[in-house]
Amino acid sequence: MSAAVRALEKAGAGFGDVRTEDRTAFVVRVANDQIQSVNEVHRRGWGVRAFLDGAWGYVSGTSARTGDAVQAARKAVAIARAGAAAGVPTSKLRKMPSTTITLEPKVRIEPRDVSGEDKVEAAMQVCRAQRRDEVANTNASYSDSDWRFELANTWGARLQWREVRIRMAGQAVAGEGDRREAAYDFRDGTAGWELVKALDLAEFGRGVAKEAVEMLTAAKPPAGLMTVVTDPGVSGLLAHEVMGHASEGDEIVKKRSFLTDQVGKKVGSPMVSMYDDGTYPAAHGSIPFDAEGTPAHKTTVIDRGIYRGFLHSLETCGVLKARPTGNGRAQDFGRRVWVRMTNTYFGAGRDKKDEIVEETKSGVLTRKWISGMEDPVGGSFQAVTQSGFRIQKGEVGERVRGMTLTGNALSILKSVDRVSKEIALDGGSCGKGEEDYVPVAAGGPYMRCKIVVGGG
Amino acid sequence: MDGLDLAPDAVRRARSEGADAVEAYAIAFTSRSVYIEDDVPKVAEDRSETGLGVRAAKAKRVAFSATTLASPSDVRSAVAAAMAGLKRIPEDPDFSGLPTEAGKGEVSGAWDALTAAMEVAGLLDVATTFTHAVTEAKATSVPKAIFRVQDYAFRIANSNDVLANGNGPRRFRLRGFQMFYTSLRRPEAYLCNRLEISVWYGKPSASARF
Repeated sequence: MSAAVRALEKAGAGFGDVRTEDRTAFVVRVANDQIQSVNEVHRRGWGVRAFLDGAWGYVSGTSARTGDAVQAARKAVAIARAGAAAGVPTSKLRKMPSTTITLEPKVRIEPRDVSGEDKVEAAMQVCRAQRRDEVANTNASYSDSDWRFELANTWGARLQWREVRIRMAGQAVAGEGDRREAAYDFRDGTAGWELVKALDLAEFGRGVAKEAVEMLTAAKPPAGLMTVVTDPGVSGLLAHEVMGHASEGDEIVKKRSFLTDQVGKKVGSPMVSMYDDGTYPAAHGSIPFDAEGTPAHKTTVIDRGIYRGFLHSLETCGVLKARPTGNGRAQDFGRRVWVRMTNTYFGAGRDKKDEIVEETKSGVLTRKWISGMEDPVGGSFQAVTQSGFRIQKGEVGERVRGMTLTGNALSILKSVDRVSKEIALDGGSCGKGEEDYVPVAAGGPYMRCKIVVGGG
Repeated sequence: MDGLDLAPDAVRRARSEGADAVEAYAIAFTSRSVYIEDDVPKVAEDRSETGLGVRAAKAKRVAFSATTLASPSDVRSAVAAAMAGLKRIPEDPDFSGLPTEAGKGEVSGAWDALTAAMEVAGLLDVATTFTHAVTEAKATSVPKAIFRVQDYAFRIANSNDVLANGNGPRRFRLRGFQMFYTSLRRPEAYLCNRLEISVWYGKPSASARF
């Protein structure tokens, strides 16, 4: 690794880094009490980047031959030089101090120390617990991953770290006549087997089935512009898909984000604050360092309704003369770095969820999201919920089917008038570029606001 | 080490460890890309990977593992993972064994040696020529595009003595906006005649092949 860094320097790179990764994953899928698949995947390789006069050269490989990474370093510089010669405007990176750090994750029970049989049995328990007469299909999945990173760069950084993630999920499909309704639930995070051990797996599975069955008799949701109390999942969708993607520095540099000129301006009610926080304890998107070796950071995106700023890679914070935020992330050693979110969420408020409902005469309470659309250019919010509940005279009423929520994100945020103390984050994967996925989380509190509701 | 040569080794090893039937799929992959951002080649990359997938069966139980392939020890660990999986997997009633020699076929015309020889420098030339042609028109630009050449060479070996080799299609891919379409009529279109091209208009709502 050091030889490759020296080769980058010798070949004339303005900046360069070398990252090695060793990734293992164990994935179990079960359906209707039958194991569908048990896969173990191991992926190991290295990536070299060179930056020269505004252009990047990337070379990556899986070879373990001595000297290949050194040769790759020279090639990366040559590629970057050719790109620069083709007219790429010069830009500067934000230089980071040189550090030598080794970090181990806070994992109490290493997934690698748990037998495959126990992992399969855990997924089977979740699946079996979903059995009910009304349930047509039961599903569960378990996965864990253990990623080891080493990074060295031409500024003198020498970093080593590990990321361990785990996830348990269940999905039940209930049926009655021609009607089918699906419900899901999951638990995940940067944690070890202790996350699964702390779960009542049978209760978890029964809960998924119960929700699917209840949705069979759910009513059609009301339609129109109305008071909506978003649950943490839907709040997180708004944070991630619209405000988060639009805050990614590369979109700002290209002036393609609707938030480009919004720093210092009011974008929400004073109750609205939003963060991207790679240091959030045990959340799915938590990272010690990003793929460029920048330490994870808690970035305030919105502070009491005022838009504060963007998420950055080394290059975007160099171009925009901003502070590094640790958001330069890559799917793996073979993929390029983009500006990506980590854990993105709205901050907690002062109310209890129940108080918010009690003070709502009429509206809907959302219950989990199924899908959402990103719109960093236009700032529109569009989401589909799994289900919801009517709120009438301060009480949670009948369950309603999945709803479509639409509106202008800033109009929605400016209409927020109640924010709960309780917050929660959902883990998942976020795609950008072609199919570059990184683990993230999104969430927030229960927020009362005005949104156009449709569908059902 | 030619990683593809390790496929038969994986088959022999899994058989010796008790598998009734084994299939090993080794693949060597290269990908060269140029990313155009706002009319300039902002990022260029050269990727190469070698990988191995092992499918082991005992009676009607079938297990799978996969690994990147850098040394013979990776073969050992991939086989060990697949064999361990066999102990956990229930029977698959639909499993009817692995392919035999009789099932082998040939695909021709899917691989182009000239394209396979293209390095990143060549791709940069194509990308910049193309982008200049688009931007000459003044009213058009290339906000985002990817020029990519990929190659797959693979070897499949199984316990029925099947040994198959192949090359996957080299693909020349453009991704961007509608203004590409008109520029294809310009002199650099000779490339299009030789290479498979897919063009997406913004979101992949439409495509065209030339």
